[in-house]
Amino acid sequence: MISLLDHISSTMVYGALALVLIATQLRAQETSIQQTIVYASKKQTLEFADMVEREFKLIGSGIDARADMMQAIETDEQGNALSFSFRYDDDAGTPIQVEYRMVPTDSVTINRRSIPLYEVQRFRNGTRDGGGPRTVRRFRVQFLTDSGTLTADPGEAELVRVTFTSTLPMGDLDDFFLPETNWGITLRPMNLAI
Amino acid sequence: MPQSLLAFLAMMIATSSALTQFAASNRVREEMMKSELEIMANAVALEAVELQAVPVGFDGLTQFSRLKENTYFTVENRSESFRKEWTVKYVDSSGNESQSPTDIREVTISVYHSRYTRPLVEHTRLIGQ
Repeated sequence: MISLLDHISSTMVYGALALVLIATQLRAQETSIQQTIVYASKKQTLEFADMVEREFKLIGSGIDARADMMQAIETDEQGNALSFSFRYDDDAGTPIQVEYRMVPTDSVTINRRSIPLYEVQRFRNGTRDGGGPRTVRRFRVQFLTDSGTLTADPGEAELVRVTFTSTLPMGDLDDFFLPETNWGITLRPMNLAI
Repeated sequence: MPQSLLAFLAMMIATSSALTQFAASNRVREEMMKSELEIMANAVALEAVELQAVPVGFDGLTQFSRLKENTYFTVENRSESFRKEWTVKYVDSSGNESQSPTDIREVTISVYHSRYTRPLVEHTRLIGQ
């Protein structure tokens, strides 16, 4: 009888230990996977942000006529910049026409809502040349006057504000602690103040 | 008796392992949150410098000295609250702080979040006369 009780209690202890260790292991794996996905997504997002920051500062560089520096922003109902184009001269004086264009790619479910995703494609002199991640949920470009007032007129703009939100590229986003990354910057391209 | 002690020990080790893992997981989440807030704080700092400090020029910077104000990073209908703290000082041509007035002022904006005691982002700009 004592031997039987020993066996039963040892089986119970083993079962409890196994459950605790399996749960711990699963949680560790899940955290590690989430961390990797978030890191990869953030890296992509910040690389795109870096490109935007460096290039938008050049808007109008080497261009004399204000009207030629940038075009009005084409937006959708949510205020996303479907298309934004501008010009600048590179170091050799060659004119560069750049367009950032939002192209639909996919959709994701966050908080049980289906949300369309886009890729921000970059065109240089009409030819596709890089761009952002394919998981951009929101991409907004706004013109500001010197006092910070929003304006739609590129002729009045002295600052450009860019904000975008990108979601994680894989996994069930409702399971993630932070399913999105928000980035923003407000730039004062030197030539817009001239 | 020895079996009971060994079982107790094993349970303690498993519990300790689970708690360690839980703490590690929370640290990872905290780091993810902090990195997200840093990106937002950076946007807040850059916008403040461009929209508030640059337009007023060298002479107008005095109004920002030791100024503290609240601000928000807004995405659609969600906002994250931050606190901005400004510091303005004179610097010489080498960028060293000067006790007497010079032709260059260094304006520093520190952006804080209520979760942290230290600033998430500090951005410095030199503005000449």
